[in-house]
Amino acid sequence: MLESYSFGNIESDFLLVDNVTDKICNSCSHALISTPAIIQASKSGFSFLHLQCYNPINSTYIFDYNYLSTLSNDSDISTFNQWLNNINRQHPILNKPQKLDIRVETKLSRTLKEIYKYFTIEELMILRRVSKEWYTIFLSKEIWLYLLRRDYFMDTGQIIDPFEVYFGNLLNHCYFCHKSSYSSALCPLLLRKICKKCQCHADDPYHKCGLINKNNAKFWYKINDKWLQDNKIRFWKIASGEEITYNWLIQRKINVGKKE
Amino acid sequence: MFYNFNKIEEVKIRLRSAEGHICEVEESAALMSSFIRSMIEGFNEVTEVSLPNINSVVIEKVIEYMRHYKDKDPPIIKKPIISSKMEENTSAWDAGFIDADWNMVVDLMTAADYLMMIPLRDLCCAKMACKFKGRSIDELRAEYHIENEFPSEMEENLEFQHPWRLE
Repeated sequence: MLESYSFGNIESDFLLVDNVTDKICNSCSHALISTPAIIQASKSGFSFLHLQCYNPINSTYIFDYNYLSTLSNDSDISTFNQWLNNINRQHPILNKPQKLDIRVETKLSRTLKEIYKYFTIEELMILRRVSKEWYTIFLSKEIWLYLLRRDYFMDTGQIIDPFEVYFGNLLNHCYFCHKSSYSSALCPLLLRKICKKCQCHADDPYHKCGLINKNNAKFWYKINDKWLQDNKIRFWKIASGEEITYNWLIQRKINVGKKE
Repeated sequence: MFYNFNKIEEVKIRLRSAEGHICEVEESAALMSSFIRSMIEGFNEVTEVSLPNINSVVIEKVIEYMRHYKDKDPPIIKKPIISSKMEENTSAWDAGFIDADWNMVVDLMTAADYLMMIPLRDLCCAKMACKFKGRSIDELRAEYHIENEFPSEMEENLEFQHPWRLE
């Protein structure tokens, strides 16, 4: 019977399932009568086992490709299937198509990681709150290494905790130009540091760090106090009594309104 | 003897979709995909590439992109994106090309990932990012059927964790 099987480069955990007679079980030493039996093939030869006497070598799930069944009798097939289900049930983790699950999860996280790269840190701080999964991906090292390279032009080769480094930079570097400066001041509106160079542009409302006073803002954008209040536009009262804010803070809210 | 070089036809690569349909594309355009390039360079006489996980509609779309950028480099999309409108982030052609429904963009991104076409994958990611940009958390949860998994006290913590936030 065995001669009819061509084994070639067979692996040790490959199993044959067939009706075996005139052989003794290698485990219990009882004769194998004509019932489904396991023929375990290894480099040293064959071993014959009752279905009940067989234990998977590495205690793993037996997949379709781990065995070859030549059973033809319906009752034998059902006996074997029942045995296989029992064996596989002992490995509940592997009962699920685990590989597929990992692939799906990786695909989603891969996609989200790539999408996250298109956002600013402020936007990411909002996006992370959508769900636990989004939050987990937000904390991934890859994102923070990328953000460090993008926002602070840093060589990230030696960085162990990019999250911490990024937040350190965020609080110590200029909010607008992202450069480190010893002569920077904390902006009371943004609660972030602004370097001297960027502060020089405060009078130019068209510049990215340009400021605008409340009256001008109302006149230019034709908005009223209620709109400013509804959109939570923060103002800072300077020594002359004027209330000022960043021009882009208002423009951003106006653009959001237009989109809606 | 005179040769009419104009008549020499370019080699065409046949892309077999998941349904078994064949879509033809010029070799010079198909080389934009690193996957197809490696197939062609690895096996000299390959003229047919089987793509069992990409359907024919998506393949046609990918071919359209390949043909458009056959002789030129796709524009680089700036990160972070500046607007929720694609036209303001990339070229008009790219914005028009990717102006499709969500499922199509996801399929296209999967295909781009499989075919190793980084510019197309980036374009799809940018489109998705545009759809997220400027949306509130509740809007995102409602649109993409995501449950709020955070307990209320944890959500408050997350909201007020960083004093420098701009919300």
